[in-house]
Amino acid sequence: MQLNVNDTVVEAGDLEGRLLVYVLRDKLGLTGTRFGCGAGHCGSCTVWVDGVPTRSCQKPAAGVVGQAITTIEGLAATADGGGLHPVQQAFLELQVPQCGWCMSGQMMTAAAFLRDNPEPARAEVEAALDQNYCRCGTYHRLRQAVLRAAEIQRGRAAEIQRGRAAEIQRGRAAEIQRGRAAEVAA
Amino acid sequence: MSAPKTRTRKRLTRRGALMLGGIGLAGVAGLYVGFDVLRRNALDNLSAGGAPGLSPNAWLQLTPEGRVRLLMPKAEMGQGVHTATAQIVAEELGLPLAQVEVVLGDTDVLPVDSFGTAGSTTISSLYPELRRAAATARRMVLAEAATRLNAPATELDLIDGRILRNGAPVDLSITELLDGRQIVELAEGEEPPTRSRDAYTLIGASAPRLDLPDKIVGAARYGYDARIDGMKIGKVLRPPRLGATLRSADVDPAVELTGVITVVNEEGFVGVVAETQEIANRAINLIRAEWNEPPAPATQSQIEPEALRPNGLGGDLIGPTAGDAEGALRRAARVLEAEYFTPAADHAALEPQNGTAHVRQVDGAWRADVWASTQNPNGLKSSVARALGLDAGAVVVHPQYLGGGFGLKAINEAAAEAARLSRAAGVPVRVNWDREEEFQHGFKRPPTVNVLKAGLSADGAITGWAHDQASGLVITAFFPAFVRPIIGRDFGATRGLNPMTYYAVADHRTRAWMRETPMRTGSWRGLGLLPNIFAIESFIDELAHAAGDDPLAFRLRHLGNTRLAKRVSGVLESVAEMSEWSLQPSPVADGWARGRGLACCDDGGTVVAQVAEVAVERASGRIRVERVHCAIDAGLVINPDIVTAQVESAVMWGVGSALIEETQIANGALRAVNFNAYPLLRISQAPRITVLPINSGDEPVGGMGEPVIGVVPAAVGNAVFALTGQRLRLLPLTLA
Repeated sequence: MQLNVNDTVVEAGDLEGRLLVYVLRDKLGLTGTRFGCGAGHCGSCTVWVDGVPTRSCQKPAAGVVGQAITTIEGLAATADGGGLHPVQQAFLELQVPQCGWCMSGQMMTAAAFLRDNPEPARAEVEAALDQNYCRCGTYHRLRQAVLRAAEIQRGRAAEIQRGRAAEIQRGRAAEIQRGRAAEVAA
Repeated sequence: MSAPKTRTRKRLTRRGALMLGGIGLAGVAGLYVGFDVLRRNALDNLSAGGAPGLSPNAWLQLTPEGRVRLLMPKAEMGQGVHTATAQIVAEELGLPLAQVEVVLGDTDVLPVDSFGTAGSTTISSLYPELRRAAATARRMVLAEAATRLNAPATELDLIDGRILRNGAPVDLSITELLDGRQIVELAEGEEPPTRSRDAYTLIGASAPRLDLPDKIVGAARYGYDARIDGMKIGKVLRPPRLGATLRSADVDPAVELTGVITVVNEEGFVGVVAETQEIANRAINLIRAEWNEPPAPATQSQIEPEALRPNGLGGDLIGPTAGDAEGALRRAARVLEAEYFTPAADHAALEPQNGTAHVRQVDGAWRADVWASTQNPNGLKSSVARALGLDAGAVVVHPQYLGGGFGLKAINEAAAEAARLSRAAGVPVRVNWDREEEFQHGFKRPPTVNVLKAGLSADGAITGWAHDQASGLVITAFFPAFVRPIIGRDFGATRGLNPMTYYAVADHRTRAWMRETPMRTGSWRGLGLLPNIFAIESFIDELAHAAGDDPLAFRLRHLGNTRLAKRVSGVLESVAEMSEWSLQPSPVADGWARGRGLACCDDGGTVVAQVAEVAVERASGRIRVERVHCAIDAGLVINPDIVTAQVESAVMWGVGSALIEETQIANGALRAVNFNAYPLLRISQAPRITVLPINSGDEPVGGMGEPVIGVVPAAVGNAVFALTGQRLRLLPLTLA
């Protein structure tokens, strides 16, 4: 069977009786998706299925054929502006991870949350990440980092806006130039 | 390319070169310094009549490209030691930090570190040795450069990777200097000159962690992630109850399952090897086993205070002891006595235990390669060798990143299980424990009872101190049972029972008992520190209240004049300032009452003081920790941000134990199977944390990963008392 993972169609073998978390990790070698509890409690295995944060330890792999799977390895590519995703950039800036095991799940959850809530309040960040455990206890930084990621995301969006506006302006100027040239020629 | 030449510099060099051959780097160009991260221990052995000479268990390699590889037997499990050690080496050697790489070496390369990575000791024990090794490397570089430039070495220095003469760059790179040669020395004998602390630019700076770029893109490789060519998946049958042992097993249904490769059915050990994790899980569930039950089922009452109290035979007097504690208590104006209890707890590292093994014959001899998350690679080598009945030399452990260690990964059984299954199946096998195996079959923090008795004089001074403690096994759990009475005490369980090294009470004594529990117990972050400091610092608070004194003033009044006591006073005063202790918190708002509590301690040279700001919901009695201030002094600070992160982490562990964590027994087994029955703290329960790392002294004197854990439950409990007048002496803290 084939799966669409990080915008690539990959051969995933026989999916009968298989869980998405093990297919990603063992069959496809995408070990950035971590196993933590196998029961949907801890959030370490969170990936996106059609953009929706999903516990891959609870997801039969055969059920996601034809859907778009995004893992931590593909997160950066989903962001505008190239390079790291704003969430990854903020986690690095604030030095959030300690052991790092839960972090893919934290980042996948946070990135989906910020996509839908670009200007969250602290309490909303807590509500969004409350089902993701971090045993090292990085919560204090995690909270700050998600708020910082929102800032980065807004900054990038504004930059892109500015870039587009500049482009449109240049386009118009060129049009006017051409118009004038045509006028002169006429 | 010409073959590298080994330059004979001095008598030691040939021995060094020989050792380099032993680790497979013979003939590889570069400058090498072999050193011993356990040198202090080695010197102790020597003075005790041990064999002289250094046997390197760490190597500093300067490559012709001017990069440093530090091969070191210390695991990175989130505590940031690979970054801090790189900072020390880069500073002393004179290279940019980005050119230093720290590698946790395989056990055939780094054969000795019997202690593993534990006890918050990495930086304080390694600092002088890393400095010596890097200074030796710099001296070697400068000596070579002096010859080449025909200049006195005293005029030369290495700064930021460039060779300078009288402060000006010279036209000679490290590549040109090494010229394809191999230069080897061992860092022993005469002391190389080291840089002045005043000139430090990297040490003391918050360099970003070297392991994080990989960790934020999912590229870091942990033991659980191991994927070896031809690898299959193993799983082992577990007993259904505590104390049950395997009598017999009918494995036929597992054998018949499609995708099962091998089923092992040996005495006391049944396991399967399958194509996938799902099939292995299913196969294990198909096995029908008969179990020998223990004489009586394990019960919760066996791990409660009534069963564990410190009394009867076996109480061992542990130091320090002074004067006549009992006499002082008889003469005191008032005597207070209180009993505190800390229950068993889980590690709950989010990466479960794991091991991958490839056991096969190479040239007629058995060899086992093992990949695992482990705090103790050389201990793991021995245990895998024992499981296979092989010589330890036949096993090589390739340690990986740890998804949390916390004392749990000091002991790894999954690797030995994988090794037995690999030998039986003839293929590499990975055994990744699942969460149920962690909760049901992993070892735990033991329960601990502390009974404290102290006298107060008429003017409110402590006049006598008698402390009895009983704990389940911590370090002695890892020794054979017959050794325990010979040792007489458990050095792990008694960690933190040293308040009288900083409080000045003339007459004091402490006794400790070792207790067996139905479930396995062992090392858990901070060992006995959390239960013991919870008791001691809550009791000090009780005494302050009885004396009618402010908790801060009472502590300061009782701290002695020793250097240690003065350092404890220093962190107390710092945390009082940070938290504005002298001001009263706004008492009630939105149905929640707010108050503060204080606690302090010393742990192996690291002194900490903490103020917890706690809220109690009036209607429900629910306790919330809103803010924690922490001042910590462990001597020289290598990386303040890593210290801060470690303190934040230890605070969360302390709050978890203070408020929610408890391992229980039900129906003859451990109660929790997954996190629904053993929840961890969530982000919405996380306090804001303010940390003040105090930079003092010329060397790091203590650790950072554990010391803070001890004061948290006491500070929280003291805050709850200040708020409600209820003294809570059982963890997790629950208001009546």
